[in-house]
Amino acid sequence: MNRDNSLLKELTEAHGISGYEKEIRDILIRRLKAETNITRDRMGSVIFEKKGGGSGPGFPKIMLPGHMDEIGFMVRYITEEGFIKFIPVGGWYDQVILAQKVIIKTGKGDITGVVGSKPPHIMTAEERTKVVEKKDMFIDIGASSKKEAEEEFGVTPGDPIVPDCPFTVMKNKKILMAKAFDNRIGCALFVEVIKALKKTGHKNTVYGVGTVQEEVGCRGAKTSAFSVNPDVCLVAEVAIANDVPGTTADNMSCKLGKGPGISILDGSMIPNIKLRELALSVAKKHKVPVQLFSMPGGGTDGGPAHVNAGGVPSLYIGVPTRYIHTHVGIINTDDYDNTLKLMLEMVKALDAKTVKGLTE
Amino acid sequence: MNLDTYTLLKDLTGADAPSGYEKEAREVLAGYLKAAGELSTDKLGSLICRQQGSAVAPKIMLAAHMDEIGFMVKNITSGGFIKFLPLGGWFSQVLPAKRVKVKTARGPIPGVIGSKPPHLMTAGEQKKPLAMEDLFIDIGAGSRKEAERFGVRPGDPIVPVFEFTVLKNPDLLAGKAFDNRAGCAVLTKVLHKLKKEKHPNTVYGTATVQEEVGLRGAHTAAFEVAPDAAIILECRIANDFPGVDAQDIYSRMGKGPQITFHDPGMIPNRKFRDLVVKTAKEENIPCQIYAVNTGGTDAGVVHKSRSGVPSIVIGVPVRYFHSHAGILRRSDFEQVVSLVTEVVKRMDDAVVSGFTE
Repeated sequence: MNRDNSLLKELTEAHGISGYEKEIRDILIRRLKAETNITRDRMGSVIFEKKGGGSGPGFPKIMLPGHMDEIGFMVRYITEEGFIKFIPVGGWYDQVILAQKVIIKTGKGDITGVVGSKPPHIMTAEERTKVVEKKDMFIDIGASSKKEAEEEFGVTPGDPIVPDCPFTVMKNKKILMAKAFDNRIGCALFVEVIKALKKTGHKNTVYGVGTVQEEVGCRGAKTSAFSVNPDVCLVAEVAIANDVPGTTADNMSCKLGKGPGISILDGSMIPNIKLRELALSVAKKHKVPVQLFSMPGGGTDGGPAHVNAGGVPSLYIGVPTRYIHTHVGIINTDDYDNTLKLMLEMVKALDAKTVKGLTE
Repeated sequence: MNLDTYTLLKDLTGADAPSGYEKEAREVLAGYLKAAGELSTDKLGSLICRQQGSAVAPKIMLAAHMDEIGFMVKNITSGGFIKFLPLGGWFSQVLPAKRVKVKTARGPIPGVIGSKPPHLMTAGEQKKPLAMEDLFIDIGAGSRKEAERFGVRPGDPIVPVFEFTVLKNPDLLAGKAFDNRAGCAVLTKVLHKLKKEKHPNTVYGTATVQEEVGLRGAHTAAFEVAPDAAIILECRIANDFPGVDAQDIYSRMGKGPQITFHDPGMIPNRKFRDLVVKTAKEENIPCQIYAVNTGGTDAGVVHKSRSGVPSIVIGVPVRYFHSHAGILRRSDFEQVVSLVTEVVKRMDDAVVSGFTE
């Protein structure tokens, strides 16, 4: 039987770079308006409140942030000849950008472009041994002048530019290929956790939060954590899967198909140890395979969330994803399903007493 | 027969046919060409469409290669990843994070060329170009065994994936394999036009194989046809983009057919060249002189076939070829079709004999 991938497809194919998250916010609101009370922070993050079997001061508040933004680019200026020079939004590696297809979101609608590249025929031997840098790249939209690009196509500095990659089910139907798993997967996870909680009940109040501007410095998580003022935070994210040729055992992070990644440390947060232990015991009890990993070279919304107010016990849980921060990520749906199960069971386990114990 | 340029280019670029694996392109072309002449093939796989005009001689070869650059499965790692060989000239930096299709005996399967996320890279690594031999393709197989179950075998061809796209200005098209399905499309349109008009010669429309790995099909096809003159239909570089100094821009999109005066593979027959330039002028077709020191075409071997064949290369300007995403202009394409048609119509026995007198 084929798995229903419609939520992931809809979310990953939506366009929303940092600062331009509206399309994703609209999808999330449509998907959760029946189950939750919806509010916003003043940066654009959207907060979905789902109350459990009671409320009041005794009920802990559990925040599940998933950032809505994806990495992309922004129009910096248009050359006299009609090419777009761009600013990267989020962390792009030079060598994954050339010859990619992109969509420019202009005031007059979407237009297609490609990141131009010099054919090898006209490169000098020296050029071939050097990395082409983002500052030297440009996007070709087929405009023949600045005037045409601006007046007829509607391109304006500041217009967001998103990678283009259709959602693809691979030969092994459990393997999915798409752009923006980072972090529409986190959005999908809190949507499905909230929908599942509706059937099972929970002794806390859950706040699924679609945060903005994570990729440029976890900005929306700061303001939305202030707005929610949570007692616990479970960050729903991607984890880096690097089980690919060229990776030695020394450098292995997560593997595809081996279950959710539980962070022991990332560049922005050391998790609450008791919360991490709780994750491991819940996983064991519910037979969810997990992988412990570290990511010193990156951070998550957990960074600002765990230092909110007087401190918030937090943990970063990720669906192992290959090739993040490119046009094409790859995940295994077993990992997604197991991450969902783990997060759901953790939320169910986080009653007032357990939450209190995290900081004792 | 419907010869809408958009459909023709979409069909031809949609065929997956890297060097040595031209079957799909040959079948699409044969479908279009069977109404234009008698079809045959040489023993390397090139397709020849013979169309006799009002005279048997001279024999004019119109050649366009039908192979595209791609890859081939070299081996499968124990973890189920594909290590590959390039077929044709690829620059390694246009490859990471690109979608590809592996054409197995059991059907095509999607894959992506893997890359390391920046989070895991040292500053030194970020500044080093990736080497072709370090790249790999991820098809989502968990092991070599599973990849083999998918049908993957060493030797399977691999092609780039890029949806054929009409840009905001509908005169511009983006796609893979314009090099040289655009030439094949010119060939198709010219043969159909000539069919309806008078031409004092016999035309051999030839779609050659294995150009990208060394002009191999042109070698045998030229022997087979034994032409008196040849026009090579190609895509040639348009370098009118940022990063190229104005003085170094030698060819632009939108400025019409490129007539090659020099490339490393051939210096064209002078009289033939002059005929092409004169024809463009007479027919009010804009054209660009293309004189470069880089890149060769099938003309490199055709003009040296047997005792020598007066030859010329006429190109459609294309930006960013030898990557997933080329861009061309329909107006340039149509002008190449007109120019080639008009040149062929002028090539009677006296004119062609005159080339070598």
